[in-house]
Amino acid sequence: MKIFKQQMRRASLAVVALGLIGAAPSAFAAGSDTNYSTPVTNTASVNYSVSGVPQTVINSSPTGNATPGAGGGAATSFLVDKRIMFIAEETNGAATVTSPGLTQVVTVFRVTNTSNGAQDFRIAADNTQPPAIIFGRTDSFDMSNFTLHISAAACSTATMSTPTFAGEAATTFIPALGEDTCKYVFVRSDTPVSPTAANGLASTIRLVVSASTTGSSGATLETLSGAADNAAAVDVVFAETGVADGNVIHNGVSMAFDQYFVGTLTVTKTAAVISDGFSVAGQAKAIPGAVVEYTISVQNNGLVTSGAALTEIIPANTTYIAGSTTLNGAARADVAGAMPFVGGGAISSPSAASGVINPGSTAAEIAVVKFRVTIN
Amino acid sequence: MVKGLKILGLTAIVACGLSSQAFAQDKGCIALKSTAEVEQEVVNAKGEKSTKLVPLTKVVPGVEVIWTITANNICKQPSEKVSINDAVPEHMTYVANSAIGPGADIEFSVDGKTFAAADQLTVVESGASRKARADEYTAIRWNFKNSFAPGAQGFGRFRAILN
Repeated sequence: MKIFKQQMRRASLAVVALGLIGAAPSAFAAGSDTNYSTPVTNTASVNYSVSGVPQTVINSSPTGNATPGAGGGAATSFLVDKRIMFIAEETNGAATVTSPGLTQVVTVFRVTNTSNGAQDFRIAADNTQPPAIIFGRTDSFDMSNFTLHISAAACSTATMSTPTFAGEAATTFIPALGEDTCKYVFVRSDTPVSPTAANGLASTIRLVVSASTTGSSGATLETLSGAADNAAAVDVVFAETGVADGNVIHNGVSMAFDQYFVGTLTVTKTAAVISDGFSVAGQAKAIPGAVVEYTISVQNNGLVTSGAALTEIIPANTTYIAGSTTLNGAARADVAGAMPFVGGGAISSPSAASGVINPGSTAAEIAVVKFRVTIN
Repeated sequence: MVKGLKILGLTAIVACGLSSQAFAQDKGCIALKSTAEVEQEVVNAKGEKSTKLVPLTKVVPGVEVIWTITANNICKQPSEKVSINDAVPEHMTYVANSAIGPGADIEFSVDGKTFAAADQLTVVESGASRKARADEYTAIRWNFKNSFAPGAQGFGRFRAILN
């Protein structure tokens, strides 16, 4: 029964809201809302005659005034209340790529205020999960050391962009965000080391934006005012919508989610028998004396690397064929008569600087090392 | 305090502590009251819906406020030619066809000076005259056709939406 009542109430609220929008679309137009704490006043007047003699005009008052003249009466007035509407949004619809142990990795959100006047907001970030999978991935680990920074970049409510972190100071609130304006908020956090953060795993994080009172530096949250209007005070109405990912409507809080995705290097090693001295081409068997070619492919699923190096071990019961090593198809000279990667050596994407493997899955990005051995 | 101010020449010497009542000018014959309310839907035990006027709840942009101006004859003689004037409050927009006033002819104005019935009120735009739109009304006047007998009461009412 209780649930039924709540549903009824919600249904009727929805009808009321629709009715308002239908009746007065202009009232919701951007920038035209009457700001909160604006006084709205009304004084009516009455002209009349008694026994044919015009009488002095009488002004109204909230309780009824009969004292004639311009000084009589008093305005019936109220202060426009605060309708708090805002939204937090993730900006680019994609996860932020990180690597194990990487610190202060930046994700970007946008906070837009559509209240009838400027509004302060508290901002906080954490690992709390939304009910849904985002960007097609579940949450596998937690980020740590969250800090928040307000972007100095220009913010458009009409066009979403993803600005770059530019050293903005850490903060916990957005002061006096103007009506119909927005700010980009950077969330920075640290990635745990491997194996907690491993290739292909993701961490979903949450930005929580709460309406806070003016000048409280985010310390004091706005609270919904009681049922009756206080004509002499600015009451608070929560009108923000929240429909997805655990957001609750009209509670003064808007949440948005983003994700860190761990991309690392994937190393694949294959072996192929090239010739055995007996079989026809393509049918060579791994018999003693046969030549085997190893291919090591290094693919980067994450951020561009520096100092990427490969260390190889010549398999037991095989003998390295001198001068057989190539990197991306180019010969790599032996070192002290041994396979050049035995002691560790820099690798790279084709055409990239030493140690640099660019993210990507095509031949232009994958680093390929080949060498040959003979089976003893 | 407001009453004290209108005592011409005495204003300067009226001490704040004195009762304004002692200086009040004689009462007129009509007590005029302006009330702001909102409409609330109520459901009775049978599940039937109706609306009633209640004191203002939160007034935020988009909320419709119902203004009621009540005139009450408090004299022992009739009041004649009773005419109530009211401006559509600043920051509010008059709701079309919302003005009512039993026993009164209702006129509107877009400038607060010239009043006419809704279908006769015009505005000049780009050199051409056209009928005024309801959202352009800035003032409303209720001209009561009959005298107010002693103790009688009349009212004018309109709706306006907070911009």
